[in-house]
Amino acid sequence: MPGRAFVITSGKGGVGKTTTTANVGCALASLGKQVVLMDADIGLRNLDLVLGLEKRIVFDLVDVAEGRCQPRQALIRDKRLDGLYLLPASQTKNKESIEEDQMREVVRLLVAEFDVVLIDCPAGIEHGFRNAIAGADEAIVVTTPEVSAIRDADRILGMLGQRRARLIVNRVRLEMVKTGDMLAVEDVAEILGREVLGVVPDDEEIIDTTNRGEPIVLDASRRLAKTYIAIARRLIGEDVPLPSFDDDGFFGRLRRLMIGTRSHA
Amino acid sequence: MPDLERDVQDAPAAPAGASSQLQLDAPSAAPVKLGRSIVVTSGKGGVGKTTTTANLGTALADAGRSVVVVDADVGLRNLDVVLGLENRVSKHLLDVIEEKCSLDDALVRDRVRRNLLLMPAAQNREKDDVPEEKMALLVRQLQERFEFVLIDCPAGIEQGFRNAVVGAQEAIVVTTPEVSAVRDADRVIGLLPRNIELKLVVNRVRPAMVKKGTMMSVADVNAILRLDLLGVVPDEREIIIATNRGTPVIDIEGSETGAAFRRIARRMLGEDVPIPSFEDKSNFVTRIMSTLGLGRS
Amino acid sequence: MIDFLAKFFRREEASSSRARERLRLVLMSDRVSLAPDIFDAMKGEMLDVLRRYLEIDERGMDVHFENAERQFALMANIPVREVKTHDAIALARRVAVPEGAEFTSAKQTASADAANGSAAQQATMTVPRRRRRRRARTAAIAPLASQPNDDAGTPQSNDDAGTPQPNDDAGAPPPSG
Repeated sequence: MPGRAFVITSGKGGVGKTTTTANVGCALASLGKQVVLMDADIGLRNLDLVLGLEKRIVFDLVDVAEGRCQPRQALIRDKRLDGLYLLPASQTKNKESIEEDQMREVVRLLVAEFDVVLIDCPAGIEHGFRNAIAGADEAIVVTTPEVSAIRDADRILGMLGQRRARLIVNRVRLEMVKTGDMLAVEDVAEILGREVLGVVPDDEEIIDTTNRGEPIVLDASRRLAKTYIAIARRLIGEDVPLPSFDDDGFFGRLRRLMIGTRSHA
Repeated sequence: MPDLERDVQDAPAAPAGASSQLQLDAPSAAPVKLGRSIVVTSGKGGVGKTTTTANLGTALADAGRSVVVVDADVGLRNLDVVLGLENRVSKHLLDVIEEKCSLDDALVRDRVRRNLLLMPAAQNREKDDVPEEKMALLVRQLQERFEFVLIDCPAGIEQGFRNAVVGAQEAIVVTTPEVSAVRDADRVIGLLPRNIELKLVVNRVRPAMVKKGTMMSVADVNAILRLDLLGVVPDEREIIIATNRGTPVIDIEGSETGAAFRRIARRMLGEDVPIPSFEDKSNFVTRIMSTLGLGRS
Repeated sequence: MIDFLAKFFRREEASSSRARERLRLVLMSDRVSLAPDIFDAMKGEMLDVLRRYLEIDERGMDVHFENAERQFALMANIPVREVKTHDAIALARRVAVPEGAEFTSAKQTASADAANGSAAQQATMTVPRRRRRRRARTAAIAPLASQPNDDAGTPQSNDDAGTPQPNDDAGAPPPSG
C-alpha cells in the first residue's frame, strides 16, 4: 500500500515550515514509520542544515529529476533514527530548474517505498510552491498567530485545490494570548476555517537545537519533543487531544473546530 | 475613492519635466537630483524585511525626508498591513506598469506622515507578470520624486527577487543570528549585482541568549557575511503588537526595537551613531566558566 | 574516561560555536558550488603554475572539492608525465616571475603568485617529491579558506608544508623513459 505525501507550506516565510518538517519527520520515524523528508526549496535549501545532515550531500532532487542518479542514491539515511531519510534540494540551481511533472514523478517513486513523504515547501506562491504541492495528496499549513502570516496562509489555502489541508499554529505565546496581545489558536482556526493538526508553543530552545543540527524531537527531555510526537500521532490517524493551555473553553472550542463544525474542503 | 483623491492633491509636486504617468520611452527632460533607491532583501523569509522597510521609511520621514516604500512582493503583499494602510489600497504597482493608471493614482499616503507614501504590490497577480526593465523604469521615476525609495524584496532568489533588485543602487541585507538565515543571506549577497552598495542589519537579536551561548552574536554573523554593519535590532514582543495594530514599532513608547530602527535611519542620513552593545556585562568568573564549558550554559 | 570527558564538554559546548563552525563549512560548500566559473578560473591558474614545473596529463586529471565529515578539502589528482628540466623551469619562471627573482622555495613562489593576483586565497602547496616513478600525485591540498583571512599564513597539516623535500638526486636530470 503506497505511502502518503504531505506538503508543508505556509506562504509566509520564516513561520517554521522547515523546523516542522524536520521534527514531525523525526517523530514519525520514532513511531516506527519509514519517512522521507524532501527539501523543495531549491537554491535556498535549509532542511539539511536543520537536520544536521549538511555535510553528507552528494546528489540532490534536481539530479534525481534529471536522471543523473537513482532516487536511492540521493537519499541520505539519518544515522540517529531508523527509517528517516532526507532528499536534499539543489543549492546551485533555483526553483525554475524543475517542473511539476518531474516533482510528481519523484514523489510517486518515493511513496511506493515509504510510509510518509513530507515535502518542505519554499516560501511564496510561485514556481517553487507549485512544484512542492504537485506531488502532495494533503497539505499541512503552518502559520503563526500574526496578521501577515495568517493573511498569507489564507492565500495559500485558496491555492491547494481539493487537497485536505490542516493547520499547525506555531510560536504561540500563551502569556500574550492571555493579555490579548496575540490571537488565540481558535481565532486563527476560525479565520482560516480549517482543522488544527497541532499547536506549537514558542520556545527559544528551537534556536539552540537548530544551531546544533539536532531536531528537538530527538531529545525527549525537551518540552517541544512531546508536542511534535503528538502531531505525528495525529497525522497517522491516532486520536490525540490538543493540549489545553488553560481552563476556559479553549479546548472545547478547538475540539468543535477539529470535528468540523466549519468544514471547508 | 474621495479619500485618496484628497490625499493625492498634497503629493509632492512632480519636478518639471518628470511626468506622473509612466512613460516608457521618454526619460524626463530636465535633470533632477535623484533620490536613493535601496532594496531591503534577505533570501530567507520571515527575518524582518517588511518590518525593516516600514520602520526605516517611517523614521526617515520623521527626519523630514520624502520617502516612498515599494512593496515588491507581488501576490503576498504585507507592507500595507504593517503600515496599517491595507484599507486604502486600490491601485497597485502592476496597474502603473501596465499603464492602467498613473503613479499618483497608485501611491497611498501614510495616515500620520504626509511625506511617507506606499506603492502597493498587486495581490492577485504573480511575480512573473512584472518585466524587469519596466520595474527599473518605475523605480527611476520614483527616484525623481522622492529622496528615498525603499523597496521591500520578497523572499527567495527568483524573478520576484530580481525585480526588486533591478532598480536599486543600494541594498540592506537583513538577517537574524540563526544558521538558516545567515546561510540564505550569504547566498543572496553572492547574487546581488557587484555595483550595489551593501549594508547589513542583524535583526531579532536576543542578548540573553547570546550571553548564554545559545544564539550567535552579531560578531559571529558578520565574521561570516563580512558586510558593513548598518544596525542591530533586538527582538521584542512589541513587534508583534505593532504589526497587529498596524503601527510601526518606532511609534511604541519605550520600544528598544523602535529605538534601534531610529538609529539606523540616522546612520542612513550620514550621522555617526554608535551601535550599542546590547549584551550585559557578565562578571569575570561567569565568563571564565563559560569559556571552560562549565556552569550554566 | 577521555570519551566521557569529551562527551561532557561537547554537551556543554555553547551551541552558538557549533552554529558558527557548521555555517563556516556549509558556506564554503555553497559558495564554491555557486560559482563554477570561479572554480574553473582557479583550476586554470593552478594548472598554469604547475605546468611551469611539470608536464601534466590533463585528460587524466581530477580536481574537486570534497565535503567530508571531518573537513572541507580541495582534492587534486594530477598525473605527471614528466618533470621539466632545470632550464625549462627557469625559463618558464623567468617569464612568469619578475626579473631578479632567485630560485625561491615553493612557499615563497606561492606568495609571489598570490601577490601577482593569480589567487585570491593563499594555498601552501606541497611540492611533489621527485621520484623515479613516472606518475606522482600531489598530496591533497589542505583546506582552502573561503575568505582570505581565515587560514592565511597558517601552516598546513602536512609536515613538509612550504619547503621542497630534500631530494636524493638534487641536480640530476629527471629520469627518462
